[in-house]
Amino acid sequence: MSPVRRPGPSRRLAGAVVRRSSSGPRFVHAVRTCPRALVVALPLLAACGEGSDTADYPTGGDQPAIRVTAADFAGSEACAACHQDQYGRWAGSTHGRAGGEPGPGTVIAPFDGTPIAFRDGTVVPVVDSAGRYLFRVLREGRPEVTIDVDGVIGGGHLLGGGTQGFVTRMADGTVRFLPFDYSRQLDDWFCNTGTRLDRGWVPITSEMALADCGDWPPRRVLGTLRDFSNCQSCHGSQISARLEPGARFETHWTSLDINCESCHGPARRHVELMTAPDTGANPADIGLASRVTDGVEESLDVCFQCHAVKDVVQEGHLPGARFADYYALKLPILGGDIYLPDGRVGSFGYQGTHLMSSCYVDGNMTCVSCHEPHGLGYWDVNRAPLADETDDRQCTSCHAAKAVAPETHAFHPPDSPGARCVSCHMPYLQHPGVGGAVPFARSDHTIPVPRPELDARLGLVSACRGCHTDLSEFQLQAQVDEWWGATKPLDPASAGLLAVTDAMGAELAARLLLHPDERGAMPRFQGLAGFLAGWVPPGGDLDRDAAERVNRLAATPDPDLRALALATLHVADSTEGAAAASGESLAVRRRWAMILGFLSQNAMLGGDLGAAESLLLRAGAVLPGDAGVLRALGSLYHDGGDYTRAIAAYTESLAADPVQPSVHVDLGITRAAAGDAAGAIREYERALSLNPNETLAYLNLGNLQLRSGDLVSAIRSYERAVAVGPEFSRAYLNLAIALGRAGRIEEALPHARLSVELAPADEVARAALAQLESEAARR
Amino acid sequence: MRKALLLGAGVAAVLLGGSGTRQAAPDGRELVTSLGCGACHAGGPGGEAIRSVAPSFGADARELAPAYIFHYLADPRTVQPDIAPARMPGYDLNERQRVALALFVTNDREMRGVDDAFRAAVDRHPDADRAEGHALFEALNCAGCHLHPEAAPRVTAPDLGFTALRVREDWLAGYLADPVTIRPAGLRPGRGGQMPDFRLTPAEVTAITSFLMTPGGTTTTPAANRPLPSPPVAAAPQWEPVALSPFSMQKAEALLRDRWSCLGCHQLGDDGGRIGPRLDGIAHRLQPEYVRAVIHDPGTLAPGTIMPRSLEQPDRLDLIASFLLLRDAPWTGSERVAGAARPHPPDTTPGAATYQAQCAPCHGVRGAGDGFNARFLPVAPTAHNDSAAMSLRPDDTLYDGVHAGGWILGKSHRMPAFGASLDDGEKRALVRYMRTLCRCQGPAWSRDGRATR
Repeated sequence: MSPVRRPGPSRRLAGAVVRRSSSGPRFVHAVRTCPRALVVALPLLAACGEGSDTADYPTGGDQPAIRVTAADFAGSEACAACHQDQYGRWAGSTHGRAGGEPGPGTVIAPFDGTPIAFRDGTVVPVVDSAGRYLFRVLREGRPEVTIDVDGVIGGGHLLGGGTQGFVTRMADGTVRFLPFDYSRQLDDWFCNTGTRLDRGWVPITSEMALADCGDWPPRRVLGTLRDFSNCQSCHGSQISARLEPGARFETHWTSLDINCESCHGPARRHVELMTAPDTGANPADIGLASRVTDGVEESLDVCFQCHAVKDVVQEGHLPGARFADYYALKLPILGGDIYLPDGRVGSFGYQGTHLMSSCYVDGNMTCVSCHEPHGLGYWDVNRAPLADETDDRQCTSCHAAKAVAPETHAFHPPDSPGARCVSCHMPYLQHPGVGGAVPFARSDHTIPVPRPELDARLGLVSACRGCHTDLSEFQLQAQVDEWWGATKPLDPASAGLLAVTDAMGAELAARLLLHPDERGAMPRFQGLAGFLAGWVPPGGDLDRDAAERVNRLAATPDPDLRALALATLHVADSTEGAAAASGESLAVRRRWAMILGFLSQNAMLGGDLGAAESLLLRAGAVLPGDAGVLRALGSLYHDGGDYTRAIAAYTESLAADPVQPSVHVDLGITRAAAGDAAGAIREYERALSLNPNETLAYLNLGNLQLRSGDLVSAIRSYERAVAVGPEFSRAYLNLAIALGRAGRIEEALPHARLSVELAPADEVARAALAQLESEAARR
Repeated sequence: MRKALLLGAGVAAVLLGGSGTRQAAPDGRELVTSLGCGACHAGGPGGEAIRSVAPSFGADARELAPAYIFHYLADPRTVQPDIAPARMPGYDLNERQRVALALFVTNDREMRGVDDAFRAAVDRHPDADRAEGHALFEALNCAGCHLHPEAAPRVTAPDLGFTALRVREDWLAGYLADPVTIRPAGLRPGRGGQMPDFRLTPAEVTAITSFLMTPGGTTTTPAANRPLPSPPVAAAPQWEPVALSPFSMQKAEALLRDRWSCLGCHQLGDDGGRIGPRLDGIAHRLQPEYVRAVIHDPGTLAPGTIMPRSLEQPDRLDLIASFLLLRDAPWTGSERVAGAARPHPPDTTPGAATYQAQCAPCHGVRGAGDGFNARFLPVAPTAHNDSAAMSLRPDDTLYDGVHAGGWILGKSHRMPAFGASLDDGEKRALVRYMRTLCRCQGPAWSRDGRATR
């Protein structure tokens, strides 16, 4: 029997990897904040923000951090009395009806006792006599499990595919998503199979096992927590989750709709000022800023708090805090498949693709140029109300030339759907990451020119194809060519990404991909990311032209692009980083280090530990003493068998940030590997003193106990691991193994089966189960 | 002798007719008529009358010596010390302008009657020529009073028919006594018109003010003292600014500064263009109702204005009006903009007239981005004669810029939207005219296919 060990060398930390590696980008139906490819750097660097008093920017110099706490919020009801019009519109909007406590006003899914049938069980959504919304999970031979619905997420409002999910509060204080989602369009239950079957979202059928659903047992939490790979801070208002050291996680929210303060920022002071008895002074400072005077980026940041894929630069964002201090919109591009070369959604992307649209790049279009922000209806750029999302005046209030004789541009009968601007330029595209079984299409906010052949090449259903299913791509493209002749070219970076091939040399690739003079930061980032991925090996020289282009990109004020350019130069020349970093803002340096962490991760995955170390050392030069970088270094040294340096790095990381239970686990693993079992146990105990629900501490403690022959203690530890981390297949496996060793085969078998159920591809689990079954049969 | 030269035949009838005495309180209507206010102002009497008495120039005019004109323009009172109801007002002209005007109106190549002072002035301004004088004659609308074969009288000043509804009486009295500049570049930007100083006596100021502020008494146009025609005003004839909190005042000021296009033309504090009247302290000058009305519908109240009708929603326009009226600032005049009156050759190309009137103040008469207002803008206006840059912009983009303004198209927010003021034909003509300035076409892809119009 093999003991539970850290996964293979490609994985960084036994803890972090075995732990909550659940949902990658294609799993979420919310903002992806911890992309698969950044799994190393992000959770680590996210920790570094705690001790920082300032967060500054490349433009505008040092700016004090905007500190916002949950106590600063007042809730939407506090707005209603004075702002009746806006409140009324909001209350009827998709934001106002985005979720909440379970009840007839929020739940659209049938909680009528109709069972959801799985192959291995039945789930019954019901409302009990006390009015509680419940899922009863019935499986043969196992006790019934009743799960309270503590929150409703979504109202299934969206045209391209509206869904509703449910959350429940767990014993460890986290609030987690249940795997039973509802599609309004399908009028059916579905679940996300992302981490198990990898088939995206699929309607639940009686051929499926419960554990085919990736969220069974529940693992995705509400809130941003570094040890949970998927962060769901957008399906409610002012959601915060944090570990209360020594106790459990604390999860709070103001409401599970999207409230006024989600956009306007914290309003408690405003309410106090405006309701104070001496308000006769009528202060100029009303405790709240006007959104009307927002600049383009400020305005977009309000919506991109939720409506964009982004990476977490620092945990704990609340509305009103400076967006760039916490989130990076373009770093997910490094993960590979979020966006296609022309910026359209490649897996799962929301409306962050707006940053690729010419309306934004060449104009000043923001979300509220078309979307009326209170009622979430539509208006034109001059705020004249429009009937619905198909109204051409969304476009023609700017593109007035196209409105004079629209038939000469649209070539479709004027009153037909095909003549609407959005039909061709903002078609609803199914997000590829969710698969094709559950409707989840969002209108294309890159606002592209129809290019049927390119769309087909990229695996997209073109706007033309959406209606003209009887024509080939060739025919569609021929019609486009006939009507419009040459169409507007793609931006140079996107065109470069489509043209470049691996066989090209760096000089040509640089010319295709690096476009410092273009306006859009997003396409420039895409091009540079492509260049960095393919043509900049660590320590490899950049030729003069490429270096000049990257240097010019490094002069941009956009923190993401600037950081990527600086990281690129740093990769090419390890000596330049520290000096250059000293002049950069914290916002840029954090991103810069994250990018180096990402590259280091890639190098590790490629087995090049030397390059990985070199890149992490560069990250350390950019963010000296950073707990996240030090933790990653510890992991790297552990993988390389250098336990002394690993222990030193972990210890330094904990000195920088003592509240890292999972680093204590990592340190324990390394001490154990170095032969210091007592030291390892101490670390596991320290981890548990910080987080009594730290599954991996129990798991690895059990491993030590098992190895020392203390079966009783090992079984107790594994039982605790199973209790606090029911989503960990290895917890069941190890418990089964320990019970098996103790000769308790019949008790071991169900745990072994659960382990295989949750991780069907785990060869160790399968072998253990086979061995136990054989043993049981033999007896 | 000099009086006769100045006033010409028939002067006595105008000068002395009526009361026959100088001691009686002056009559406002007679004053306005005899001063020839209608020579420049729409809706005012006196245009024809003043042209019948003021000297004519050109081929049919009596001969005048350039030196005489030069000195006369410096201070007409030295020539005309006894102020009559009709009189030559002061324009505060500099020496160069007086040289140029003297050369133009006398057309005297031999320089008869030249004295040393004039000769020295000519020597100091060797390139001040007749053409410059012509431009100045046009800019100041000298033809409003003085017939000239090369210049026609035209309306260069606001419609007096709206005076009572437009301005405050106390302000008007002060202004008539001391007519400081309101529009830095004249009512028609770039034409350089200006209100001259008639050196009115206090009694005359009182009489004219009373006359202009009397509803029904002013205008010669059929629609005498017609009500302000803007729909919002018609609906709320007694409109007063909406009370704005300090917060709302800050918000409005931020929008004016950073989002809306108003300060492209108007000055507010130290910021803003020099095309329209400055906006500081307009509550001291204008009636609230008029401020609101002209913001909502400038073209109806001020025909021929280049101020476009806004595409913004009415509540936002009311916010601007209220902010400007409530803002605590004294009213002051503007400084005249040097070089505002830049002649441009007559051009019958479609779109040229619109361009010269609406675009040239910022973009320059030849589209070089060097209009007189350009230096007051935070972002340099597009040079429409820049072939390389303009070749990258499709015709539709140029059209859209004219229509929707600068902000949403990623250009300067100080560029106004003319979408509600120009019709499709005018916008297309403007685009075509811009193409003549750059001698270029839009990018090839924008010209391909049947979509090109």
